[in-house]
Amino acid sequence: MAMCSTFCPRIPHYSFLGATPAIRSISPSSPFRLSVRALSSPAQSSSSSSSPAKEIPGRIGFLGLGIMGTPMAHNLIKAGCDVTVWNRTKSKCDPLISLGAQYKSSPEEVAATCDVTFAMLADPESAVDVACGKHGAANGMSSGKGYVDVSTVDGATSKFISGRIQGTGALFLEAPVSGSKKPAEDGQLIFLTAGDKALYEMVAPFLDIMGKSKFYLGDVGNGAAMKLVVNMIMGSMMASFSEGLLLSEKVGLDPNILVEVVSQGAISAPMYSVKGPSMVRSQYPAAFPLKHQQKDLRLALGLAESVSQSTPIAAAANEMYKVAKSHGLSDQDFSAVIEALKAKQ
Amino acid sequence: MEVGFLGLGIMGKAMAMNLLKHGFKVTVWNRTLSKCDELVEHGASVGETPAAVVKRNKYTIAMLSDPSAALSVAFDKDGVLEEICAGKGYIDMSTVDAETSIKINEAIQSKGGHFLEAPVSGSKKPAEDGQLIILAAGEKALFEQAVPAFDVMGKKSFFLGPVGNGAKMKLVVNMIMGCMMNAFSEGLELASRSGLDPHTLLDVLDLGAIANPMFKLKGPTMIKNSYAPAFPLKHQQKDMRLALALGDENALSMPIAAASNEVFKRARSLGLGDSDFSAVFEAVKSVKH
Repeated sequence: MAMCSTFCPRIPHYSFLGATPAIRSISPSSPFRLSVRALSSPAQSSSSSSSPAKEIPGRIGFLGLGIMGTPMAHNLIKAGCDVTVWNRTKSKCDPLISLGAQYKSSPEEVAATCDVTFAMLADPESAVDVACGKHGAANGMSSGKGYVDVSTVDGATSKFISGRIQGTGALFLEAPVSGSKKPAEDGQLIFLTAGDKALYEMVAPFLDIMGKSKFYLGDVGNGAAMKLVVNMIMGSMMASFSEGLLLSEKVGLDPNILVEVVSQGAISAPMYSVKGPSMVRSQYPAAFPLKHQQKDLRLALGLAESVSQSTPIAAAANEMYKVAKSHGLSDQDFSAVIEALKAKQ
Repeated sequence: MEVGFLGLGIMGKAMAMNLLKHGFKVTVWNRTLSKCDELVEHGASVGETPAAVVKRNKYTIAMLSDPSAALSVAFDKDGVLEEICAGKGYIDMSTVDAETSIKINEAIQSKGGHFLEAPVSGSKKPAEDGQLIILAAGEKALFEQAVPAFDVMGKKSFFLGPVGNGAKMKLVVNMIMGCMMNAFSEGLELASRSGLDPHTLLDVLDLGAIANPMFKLKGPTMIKNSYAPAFPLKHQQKDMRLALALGDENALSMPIAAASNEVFKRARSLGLGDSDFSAVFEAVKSVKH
């Protein structure tokens, strides 16, 4: 990912950042100029394309500048992409505008002026609203454009949005990510995509800027399902870890030593090493808000029910997150679930 | 260094073998004496009873399957207590509840002996590779004396304070592990039922914040329904039960552990007690509603 920045000088209307050496032939009416640097021989850059040229998006839209959207859009801008942003609360756009992003006042206008529009919203409701609501992105989509929904939603929501987008002639890709705030900042996200393969290939260079790996999983719904499965496991693991930390303390052990012991063995996970120390100090700086983890568990339970699977551990974990929400911890990091097991003060 | 070794099951055999390979003189005992044969081929001598082993050694290590075996080896006729005395140390590396450990400690000390509990984190392969994590508690002086043996058998040793703390730490770790295995099983099954390739799930997990050696090692064999025991499910369920008892004693709610224990019990009822604990996956798969 870091490599891309050397290939992406900050030129307006710049495009092409990845490894595909295909050259796009430019029509005279094209609104932008392409500066292409293939990773292979320099001779290619001056020849006309001999292989079918892929459409390479020039203008990128980004809807939703929360904990995740802001660093993701930031990385695109840093890499030299032409980015147009929108956020429900306009002030959140200002830092990115000062870095060179353009601004439009509705998802519809962003979609209309961009080739590919990314969306990073908090939940199914906002994802639908931004895509399909009044002044929603779908109103600005048309053939030749693409919509990449990076929000984490259930399969039905994704299919609904996909239907609306594709109905305009545009391409659709669901692309929820694994990874929270720091991986987003570091461009280390994992994209779990599904939908139009052509759009996946088109946006691959941008996914590579924002992430460390990407998967194409087939039909719309598969990316959503994979993300929900991963976060179901994660939510249960965090709940179990919370039980362990509290039990160790109750029986007279040092929970910091538990964290160290866990880090040495077969169950050592980065999440435990990163979150353990702050959990022991009852601190929960929000990298992944608890309300979103509970949303994901709720959606995962819905998925499990749709395939007739019993998931008692995930169900028990979901209850713990709901208790934590009732204690006012929705906007804290999901590791605050440990508070659900403590005696109420 | 000379040491006695009681209990040559999945773990004990590998641990004793490591000691032999690193130049320790080891006197072994096992309830089924034939299990000693392979160790004898590698230079071990045999004691007919736990008492006989303790008589001939300044330090004796035990690696038994559960509290009742640990108590039996200590208290029964021809057991450890018959020969333990001042100047001798007993290091019980079995995973038991704190009460059992405290009971054995008191009895050993009342005979003038020295005691260390030292349950381990790690199963068959780490035992074979000398990569165990040793969670010791009890007499600090005995811990220091045991370090040469611990360094052979393990990659890291902790001294956690008074007797009972090692047992408790082990149970807490295994409680988390049992819950993780359940969560993992639910995820693998949900992936499959949703039409995803479970191997792809493994790849995704391995890249992220919840990547861990257990998922990486067990995931592929679970997908193939293969459960050769590295850590028998019945022992994992025993550990869940003991951890829940600790929670009960301290009025701590532990809904994930409780739910996980239920699934392990179901797995035992399906006859999977002697399979690897990852066989809980079969219990997860078997429920349809």
